[in-house]
Amino acid sequence: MTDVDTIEERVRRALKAVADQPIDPPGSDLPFPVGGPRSRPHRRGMLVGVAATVVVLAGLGLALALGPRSSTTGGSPASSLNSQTVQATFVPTAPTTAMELSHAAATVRARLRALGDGRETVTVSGGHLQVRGPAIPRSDLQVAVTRGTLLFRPAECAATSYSPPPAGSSSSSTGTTLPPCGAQYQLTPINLGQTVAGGTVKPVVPDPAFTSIASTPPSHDDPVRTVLLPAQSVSGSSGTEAARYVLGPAQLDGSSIAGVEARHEASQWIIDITLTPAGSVRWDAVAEQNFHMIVGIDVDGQVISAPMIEPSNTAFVSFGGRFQISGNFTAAQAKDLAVILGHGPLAPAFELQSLQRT
Amino acid sequence: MRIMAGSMADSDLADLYRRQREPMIRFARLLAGSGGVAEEIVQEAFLKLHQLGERPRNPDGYLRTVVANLARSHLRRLGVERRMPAGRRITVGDPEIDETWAAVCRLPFRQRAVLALRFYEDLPEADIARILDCRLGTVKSSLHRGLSKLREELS
Repeated sequence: MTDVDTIEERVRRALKAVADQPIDPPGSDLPFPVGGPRSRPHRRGMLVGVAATVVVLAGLGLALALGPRSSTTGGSPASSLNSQTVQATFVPTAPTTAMELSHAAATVRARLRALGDGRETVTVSGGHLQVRGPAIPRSDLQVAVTRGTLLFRPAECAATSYSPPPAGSSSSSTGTTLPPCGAQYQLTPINLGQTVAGGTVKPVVPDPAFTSIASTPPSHDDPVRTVLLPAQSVSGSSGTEAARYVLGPAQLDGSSIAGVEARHEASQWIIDITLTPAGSVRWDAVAEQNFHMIVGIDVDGQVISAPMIEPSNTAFVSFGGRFQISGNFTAAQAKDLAVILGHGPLAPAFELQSLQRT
Repeated sequence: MRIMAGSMADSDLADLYRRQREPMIRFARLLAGSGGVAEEIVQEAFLKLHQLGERPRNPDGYLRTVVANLARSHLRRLGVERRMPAGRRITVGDPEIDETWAAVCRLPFRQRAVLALRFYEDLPEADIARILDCRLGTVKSSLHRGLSKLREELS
């Protein structure tokens, strides 16, 4: 084995043997649509520091769109898969084009790599998403397939918790038009005591007229409609609606976001948002329109924060393309949200079909 | 270097996918390791080609370049560019082949890529230089050094 020819032949045989190992069939999908749009699958980018807190919480209720998770990003021991390799298959819950699947794979891959060690792989096979990687915690899989649809909606009023009416007379906000908020419950600058800069925020009680109306389910969280969404308290007991909001049609969505970072500041976890140049202009327009009022931040049909816009300013001041979302986030919740929002929404929804450890 | 000219029709892209998916996965395996990673790299490469909106002058060659770059990026992310991680290495069950492949995996990325393009793809050195975006002299020296190391290890 000392002459060049022999080594070359030996290398040639080895390369061929490795390369010729069987390959899974591609399934029916091309990784791009014939005649479909040509767009980027997801955004990347992180923010380093924000000069000042420019959005102040109104303190009217917070929620987190994610399910329960441990306080560490790696997930609790109970939820971790202590195995060398995890293989999970996710199926779309609605008819999906090849392009949507490819973009979804890119989004799931980017999220998993942001959470894990970079060795996770996501492929499209037979109309499904195949996820493989070493010891991926269940909580990471959950974050990876969270929809992450972000909408900024003007808050019209707070609503009381849902109390189902007697059997046979139930109503919901899934298809019907919601009634208008009562005048004294509307979150206007006058009702909120914001006629002067720096004025104390007056609490506005929830409108009791919505007590018998169920919240809009996430599947009906239509950007162009007025919705009634829950704002579950992070620290509250599971499943209890601490507060709800009636929110108007969305004025901005997640496509305006360039970067997201979770950060610990002044004893709380916050989420720094950096906007694209065009997004910055759009956000300023939304914020000016809602100056001294409350904007609901809707993620997958739940209000994660309901901040008041610049309550201490006498006149609107541009946000300069950056703002912060604060709330009672745990470290894990803030980091997960940053991963979800930072890599754009996932479309369509996916559900877990199988999970194997080998 | 500008290599784009005109736009690539979807039908051309679909045809390229049908022709090149498997060969590219095999090529990517030699650069990046496991089959799953190779499939992912090739899917991403086709997606990039689709998003170009412009037709590369040589789509097959361009695709191979994108696959090589993505494989390198993948290993860089893992911090193992200089050698493929042993845990991900494919084995075929033949002691001589597995020993040779293990030695190839220990080579730096460029030397391994040059060997794959020269001895698996049977490409001339000038084409290898274009695909890896380096000088012809770099290809020659990478080939020489790679083979010398293997000769040393396997003799």
